[in-house]
This record gives sequence, structure tokens and C-alpha cells, in this order.
Amino acid sequence: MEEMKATYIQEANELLENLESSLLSLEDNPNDKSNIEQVFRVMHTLKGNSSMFGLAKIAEFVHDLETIYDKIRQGEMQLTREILNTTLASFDHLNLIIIDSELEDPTNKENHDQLIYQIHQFIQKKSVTPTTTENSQQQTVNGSEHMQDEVGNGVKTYHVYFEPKPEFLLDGSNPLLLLAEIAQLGKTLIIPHFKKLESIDDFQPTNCIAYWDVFVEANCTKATLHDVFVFAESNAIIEITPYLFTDLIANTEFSEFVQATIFKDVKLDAAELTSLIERVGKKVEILQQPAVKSASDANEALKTAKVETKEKVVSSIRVSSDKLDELMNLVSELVTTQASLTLYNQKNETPELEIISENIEKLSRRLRDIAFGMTLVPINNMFSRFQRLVRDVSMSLNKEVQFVTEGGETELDKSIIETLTDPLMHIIRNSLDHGLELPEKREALDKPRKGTVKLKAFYSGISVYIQITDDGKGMDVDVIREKAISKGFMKPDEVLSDKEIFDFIFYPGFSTAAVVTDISGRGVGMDVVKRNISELKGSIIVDSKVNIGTTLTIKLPLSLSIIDGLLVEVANVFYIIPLSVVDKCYEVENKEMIGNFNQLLTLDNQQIPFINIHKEFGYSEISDADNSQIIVVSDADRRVGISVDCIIGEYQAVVKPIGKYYRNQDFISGATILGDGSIALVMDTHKIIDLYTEHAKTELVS
Amino acid sequence: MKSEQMNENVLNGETKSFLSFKLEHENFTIPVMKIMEILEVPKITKVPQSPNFLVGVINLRGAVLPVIDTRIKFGMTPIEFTINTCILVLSIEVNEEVIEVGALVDSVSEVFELNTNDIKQVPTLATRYRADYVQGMIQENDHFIMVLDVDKVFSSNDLDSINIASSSNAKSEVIHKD
Repeated sequence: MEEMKATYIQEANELLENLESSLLSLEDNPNDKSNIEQVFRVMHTLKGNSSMFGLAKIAEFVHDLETIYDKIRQGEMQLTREILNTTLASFDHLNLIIIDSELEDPTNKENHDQLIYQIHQFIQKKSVTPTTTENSQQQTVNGSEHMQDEVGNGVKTYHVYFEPKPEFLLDGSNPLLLLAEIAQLGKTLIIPHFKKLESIDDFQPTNCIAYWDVFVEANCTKATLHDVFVFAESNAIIEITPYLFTDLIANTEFSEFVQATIFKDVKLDAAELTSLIERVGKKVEILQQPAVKSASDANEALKTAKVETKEKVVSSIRVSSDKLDELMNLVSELVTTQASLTLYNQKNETPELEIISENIEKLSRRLRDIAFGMTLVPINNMFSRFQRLVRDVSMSLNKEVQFVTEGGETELDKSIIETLTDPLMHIIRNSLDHGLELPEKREALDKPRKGTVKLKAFYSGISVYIQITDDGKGMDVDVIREKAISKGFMKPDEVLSDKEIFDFIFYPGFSTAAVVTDISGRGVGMDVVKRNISELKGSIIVDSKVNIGTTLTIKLPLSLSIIDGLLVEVANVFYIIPLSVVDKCYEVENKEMIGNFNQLLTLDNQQIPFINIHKEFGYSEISDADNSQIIVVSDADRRVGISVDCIIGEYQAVVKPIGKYYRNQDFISGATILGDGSIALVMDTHKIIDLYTEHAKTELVS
Repeated sequence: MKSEQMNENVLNGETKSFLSFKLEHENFTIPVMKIMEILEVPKITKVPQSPNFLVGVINLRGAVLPVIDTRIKFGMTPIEFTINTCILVLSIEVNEEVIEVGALVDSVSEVFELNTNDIKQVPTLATRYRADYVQGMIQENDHFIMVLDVDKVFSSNDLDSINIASSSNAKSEVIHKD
């Protein structure tokens, strides 16, 4: 929820920025239709966003404002300077209440009511006194009363007696939400009571029979507490008594005393309560300025309140992504430089230098972590957006769906997440539409009525994997094969693995769906999905079993990463193999590999296929030495050996892109600079294995 | 003074600095504005299975810079490394994106001022190099200097077509197919 709120605030800030510039240009050019439209649209979006997040007060406020501009837009009203002034004032006000959506700050509350009054006047074009004014006047009166009640600030204990009238629940009000709101103010002790009913016939399920005694220890004003109940006032009895004592709630005698009344229909004896509180509580020391009474003091207080709100706004700032990229580059250069410092130190053992070098290593590591933390965002942000989609789509399809997300804490580059949203949305739609069966059909198949769609993200090596799994009807390999043959994508006598056959669903114009719905099935889309993912340098794999379900796995590279790797050498060129995929290393004699017909080596009594990098990379058949090192790497469900000339050791590598010129050499995922300034190429073992198997196949065919 | 210069520019074209360099025995030139720096040849790391005009990558103060053998790119024999061989670090614009690339040349000659009006169109038949690489030529004493369109020469756009043509090794075709 906090995250969603942050998203909302960020979006709202952007909208308000737009609004401000449009308003200012309207000031110069009040008849500019397109600007009025723009203002209207921005307000409309803001209203939509606010009500979506349940911020009713902001939504209502913007709605009123929007009404004015709607009228202007329709030509029913003329944009006057007064309206603009009010709008700009409202704009300033909105900036403040975005972070104070419940108008907890009394200043905000007052401004709010005043502005609403002004806006209503514009709308009605006559100065009738709408209810809001009464409200605001009442509020001001109340406000001054509170001021007198206040004795300095600091933590105090409030006793809130809250008795909703029986009809309280009828308009959808929820007393528990109000209590929850109070509980957020500070330490609370909530004692529920139930009204005694004479007989069972008196019981009306729609009536509220509960009432509460709440003790709050909070650093707030009585007005703040009052504001919580602002909408409930007409429908409930609310009494708020401040006590200048603290540490009551933790006190056993006190809590026993009040808890004795729990669930009972008794009122706490005020006199007894007061004496008890005075006895056990810790008196609040009053050393700050006395009650804010005079007008100037009040102003002063308002000013500080405003400053505080401003400070809250500054707690997050927006930085251009260019600057962040620059920072990341500098950090990685620092890591590289530090590697050469360590190397230098190893050569010239100087104790003083060693200390400095180690310190720099520590600092650069921390700096690296912070820098990475800034550009990466948890994938959860995106996952939560899909909840709504799944709900809506499954409703329109009459399907029952349970949507499960896992690994939301996995972090990805922000730009990747944005590009990924559309393809993922498409895949999820497909799962819902084609994957899952209707509830009745599922029951007939002995499956749970509710289908499951699972979205899972996890790290592996220098990649992030995102998996979408459904337990629907799955895809039939044979059907796809036939379809592929009929579309001419493959020859009838071609032998392909299941994985390769499933790959056909990404071909443009390939759809196996019998019925085309408005949600999916037109055979456009999966090719776009694949293209989008390829643009991110990712890959996608399908796995499916009839009646068990379908799993799509998307693999994405981490944009700029520092990985732990194994530094190896092949034909005098350095390579890095990500340590995360390395399983085990063996030494074998070169003669075992040459002329090895089936490309298999027996290692630890297991037959392991191997790739002779020396040969595959076009250097020569094999190295001149007698032995080669075999590094067994794991790739999804298989283990493959990769032969290299020698292993140098572990290395922390800053992976840098090698540029567009090498876009066809994607089995090299990047390069890294070694301590001595030379370059090592980072292998993407997954791609190498894929390439190798494909290559072997082409050789067989030709 | 300044306005005089401006007028001159309009009438007589712009005066720009150019750097001339040699490939085999031919002279070429490109605007100095495009050149970030000139390097001695450091250790070059060859990327396996890459087209042969891509010599490899070098470490340019922590960044990875691809290096192109300009001679192969122009259909000449591969470059032979001598004491004069150097790398021009160029900043080129491809698809509205600025990228840096190193170009291996046999030797650099001089920097000179040149009025753009002095660049003459090349008769398309007269050149054995790809016409779209050459912006024009200038005559200096008894020899010609080709003025190159750097953005076109070193753009990676035509990579795909070059790839298959220039790769000597059959295996790489398999790689480049997808």
C-alpha cells in the first residue's frame, strides 16, 4: 500500500506540474481552447487517480474544480481572472494535501473548506451559503476552542469516547476504520463495549450496538483527533478528553481498570478514571511556550506547520536517468580502478598501501550497493498492477482465477520494467483466455474449480527470470506441429524437440485458438511479445503439457552489473564465466577431446556433452598444451562442459556492453576490464550452449 | 569583423578543420570535429566469430571501444601494424544516437583548413570505393584526397549485409542467421 501511495504521489506531482504550466499559459491567453482542454484532462486524470486510491477528499475537491472547467469548455462560463486565481490557489493547496489526503493538518482543512466554498460560488454563480460554509465556520470556531484546550505540544494521553448511533452503519461507514486511523496516531488502548439488548427481538443486524473507549498516547492536538471523526460527528457521540499524563497504557493497574469494562455495557466513571490517572500516570512537563492564543502566535505556528510539510515533500527527489547512468559508470570505473590498485599492491607489498587499498575496496563496495539500489526497483510495482487486470479479465470470461505472485522483491532496472509491462500483460491475458478452462470444465477434469496463474521472478547468474505459469489446458505439441506444417514453418519430415515446436507460437500469424475473442487469439501478439523481449536482450521459452498447464519463462539480462566470475583463458584471450553457473571443474587430456565423435566426456562416471571453445570460437582445433580444463556449467535442466585452456581464478567483473557492432555475437554478454587494463570477454553460457546445439544440428542436416 | 566573416561564409561556404590520413597509399580526410582523440595501438582483444573488419575491442580508460580495420572496410588488404599505425577515436551518429568507435589507419598526416566549397563532387564511376562513403574530393598539388562521410562509413547499419559477405568462416554464418 505504501508503494502504491508513493506511485500515486509521484504521478500526482507530475500531473500538477502539467497543470501549473497550462494554468500559467492560460493566464496570458484565457481563450486558448486547447489549454482549457488540457487543464480539464489533467484534473480529470487526477480525480480518477485520487478516487482509485480512495482519497475521497482530494477526488471531491478536484471534481468541483473540474466542473468549472467543464462549463468553460462547454462555453457556459467565461474564464475570469478570479477563477484562475482560485484555481492557482487550489493548485497550491493540492500540492499540500496530496501528502495529507485526510486533511489531518487543521490549516489544510481550513483552506480546503474555504476553497471549496469559493469554487461552489463560481459554479452556482450566486452566493448562497452551501453546507460547506457552515461546516467551515463551525470548524473555525471549533478550531479556536481547541487552541485554548491545548497546553503546549508533546505527548499527551487522550481519552476518546466513541459511541456510534444505531444507524451508523447504514450509510456504509465503518467505525473500525476510524479506530484504525486513531491507532496510527500513537500508542493506543482500545476498549470495545456492547450495548445490552433486552431481548433477541431487539437485535437488528444492521444496527450498530458497539461503542468504544479509546486511550491514545500521541503527540497531536485535540483537533487532529477530532478530524478523524469529522464525517461521523453527526452520527455518533464523540467525547475527547485530554489528560496531561503519559505512560498510562503501559501501566498494569490502569489497563486492568479499563479492561475490566471490556465488552460490557458500562461507562467508565470519569471521576474514578481521573484520580487513577493522576495517581499512576507520569505528568507531562510543560516547559514549552504556553497555549497559542494570540493571533501572531497562531500565524507563527501555521508557518512552522507549512515548513514541516515542505520538508516532507523534499524527502524524495527526481533525478534524471542520465545522471544515474553516469553515476553507475563512475562507480563501475571505481571498482575497476580499485582492482588495479589491489593488483599493484600484490606486486609491491607495502603495508601502508594495503590498508588504504582495503579501505577503498570497502568504500567502493558500499558505494556500489547504494548506486545499484537507486536504479533498480522491485518488480512488485509491476506485479500489483496485474492484480486488477486478472480480476477484470477473468470476470468478463466467467472464469475463477487465483493470481499468485512470487519473488516480488527481485529488482530490475526501471526502464526494463516499463518495457516489460505490455508483453507480460499479453501473456497473462493469453493464460486467462486460452489457458484456463471454465469452472465447470475444470471440475469435470478433477481440477480445482479455481484456476491458478502464477507470476514468479528470480535471479540466476547475470540474469533475471520471470515465469508465468497456469494450470490450464496446456498446449498440444502435435497440434502445433500440424499447424506449423500447414503454415509452412517446418517440413513434415523435420524432427524437432518439443521446445523448438513450442517456439512456433512466436511466429507472426500463428494462432492455435479455435475461437478468436476480443481478448486474444488473433495470432498477433506473441511475435510482438518475443520482439519486445528480444529488444531487452532477453529470451523467452515455452513449456507446456496437455491438461497440466503452460509455463513461459522470460530471461532478462541485468543492465549493468557487477558479477562474480571465473577468469579463464582460451588462446591467449581472457574470458569470464559467471560463477553462478559454474558447477565443477575438471582437467582432461586434449587427445580425449579430439575426434570425439559424440562430443561426450565421461566425468565422475557421468556422460557430459562438451563444447570445445577453442574450436568453436575459430582459434584452432585445440590448444598446444597437453591438457585442457573442462568447466561444467549448468544451464536450466542440463549440464554441459566447456573446455578452456586454463583457469586463472575468481574475479569480480564489471560487465560493460561491447556495443552495437557486436550485436550478432550475443554469446558474449559483455566485456570487463582487468586490473592490468586488458579486456576479458564475458561468456553467456546459455547462448553458447544453444548455439552449439543448433550448430551441431546444422552439421548433421548438411 | 564578425559580420564580414558571416557574409563570407554565405558566399564562400564554411571553413573547417580537417585531418588527413593514409590507407595504403591513398589519402583520405575527415572533419576534425568528428575525432575525439588519436591513440597509439594498445592491446586489442578480438571478439570470436566477428566479421573480419571488426578487429576487436580496446580499453579506453575504462570504457570498451570497438575498433574497425578501415582498410578492410574499404575493400583493401587487412592493416599491417607499423610504428605509424594509430587509432582515430570517432564520435559518429547512427540513428540519432551518438556512439564512439575506433578506426585503425596506417598513418595520420596533417590537420588543415578547408573551405567546404572546395570539395568537389566525385564522378560516381571514378571511385573504386563505395560512392555513398565518399562525400567528395579535393585536389592538392598533384594528388586527390577523399573527403569521407564518417557517419556512413562507420555506421553499423550495414553490418548484417557485410557480415555474411566478409566472414571467411562458414560457421559464423550459422551464428548470424538468427
